[in-house]
Amino acid sequence: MILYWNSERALGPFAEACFCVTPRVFVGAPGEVFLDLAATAKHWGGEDKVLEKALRLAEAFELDRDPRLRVVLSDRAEWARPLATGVSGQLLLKKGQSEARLLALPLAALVDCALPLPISETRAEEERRGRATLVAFLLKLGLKTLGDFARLPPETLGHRFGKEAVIWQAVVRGERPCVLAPFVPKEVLEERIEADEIHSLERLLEALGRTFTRLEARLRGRALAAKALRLEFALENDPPLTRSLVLIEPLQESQALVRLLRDFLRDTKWTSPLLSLVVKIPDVVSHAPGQLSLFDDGEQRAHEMAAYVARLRAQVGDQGAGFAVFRESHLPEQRWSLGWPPAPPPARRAWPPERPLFVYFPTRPCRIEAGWRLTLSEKLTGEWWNGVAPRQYAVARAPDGSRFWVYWDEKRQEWFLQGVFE
Amino acid sequence: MVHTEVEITRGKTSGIGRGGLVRLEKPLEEVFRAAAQSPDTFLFWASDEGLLNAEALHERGLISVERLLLVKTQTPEDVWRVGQEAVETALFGGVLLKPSRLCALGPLRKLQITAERTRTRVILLTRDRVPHWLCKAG
Repeated sequence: MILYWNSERALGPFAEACFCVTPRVFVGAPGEVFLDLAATAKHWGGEDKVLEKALRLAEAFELDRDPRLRVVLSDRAEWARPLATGVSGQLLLKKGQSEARLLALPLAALVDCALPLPISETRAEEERRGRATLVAFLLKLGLKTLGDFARLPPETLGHRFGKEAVIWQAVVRGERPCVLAPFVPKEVLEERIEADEIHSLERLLEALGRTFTRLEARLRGRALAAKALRLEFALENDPPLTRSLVLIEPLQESQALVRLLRDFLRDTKWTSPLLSLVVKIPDVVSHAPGQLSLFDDGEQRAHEMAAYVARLRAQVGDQGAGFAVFRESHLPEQRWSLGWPPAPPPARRAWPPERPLFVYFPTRPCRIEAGWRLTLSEKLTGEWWNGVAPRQYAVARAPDGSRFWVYWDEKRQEWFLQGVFE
Repeated sequence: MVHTEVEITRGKTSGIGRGGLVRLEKPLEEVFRAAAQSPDTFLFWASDEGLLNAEALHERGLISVERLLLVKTQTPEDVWRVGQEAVETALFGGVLLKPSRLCALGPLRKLQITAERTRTRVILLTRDRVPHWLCKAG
């Protein structure tokens, strides 16, 4: 069975989402999509359920709100277009009903019988003209329906009107399948939001919610998950504003993505009115969720943790939240940074230098008061190639017993407070 | 140096237990030893002034840094906000907050109620005094 969609809107994104209904998605003229439901007829509880799934998918793309949308379920792809002529909304024909309905159509419907695809626009127009000429002549002969045309002897038809007329008759009889062009989605997923009525972040998030519902359907169709997001704001009086967000865990669910964007965009301000917004997913990975264990919720918790860290980093920045990831460096503040996912730390040193548990970022200039006792600890001379001056570290003990971790910067000739022993 | 720690959980078990609102005074190292009683749970740390020194924590063997989520915020208000969110997720066995300023009583009470509901151990590291009625005998 073929489910045929015809709309004045661009159906590319919808066709992309349809891959989760059937792998056999074809396109015809602009605004036409053919879904071969036979390919997955034995999945999801039969063809009726597959059909239901496809129709539900259309709601995510708001196709049901298109007054000119025509949906036809027919036995053959080449019959779908003439059957859709004059139909408003849906025409879902059960198996075996399509032929009778087709043959009862007026002869003029022959013009709409599927053209072999893909062909150039010029070639299609030529073929359409040829059919129209044939139809005009046959009408003069007294033929009224496609059924009358189908009943003509093929030899006579070929002798009088040529080989093409025989092919067209074979198409009407269902003896010659048409060639459809497989749908090939664009590489980068992209959605555009017109921002005429968006005056606040809340309205923007509302619009993003609808957009990400579509993007989720498209990602599901392609079995992908987003690894990064890119938002391009077109402003009326200023150059476009671009914000990029790298996701620490690939995401597919629209709600999770919008929640993330709510935090990410919280501080975003537009200096002039917003005209439109383009949402792109420039980086994707294959989405293959694993089987969760009934007795071990570790994987689920790791997933929740990743989602939470992603939200945190959207709020405070990539360098503001994460787990300690260690690296080689002479400088204490560069020995580790905040990252995701958690990585195993290096082996402990046998004689680690004395360093405090709490450190300041960034380090701050300080003054050693009279009465403080300084105990020199380590001297770091590394990373001169990065412009870092040698540092003499010391533990400064205040009269009240507080201990501070300070260093003398030999280049700036100044004390800096780096941490406090608590 | 000592801290004022207020733990907001229910049902004290041992050390810093889960329950009520316990007020302790211990150095940071001791707080970590107490907070990291369950090695399988994650810990959350947020501060607006600086960060825990993950290297020193690791070298001293106080806690597995793979289970410690560190957050550095710009303002003390953000510390309270992310702390509240962290408690609400129920992902952490312990939440340690070191804001440079105490928040209003409303958010503090909300934090207390959420911590009770999610059975999360919350430790506030602040020199400011917390109202006595928020503290129950530990």
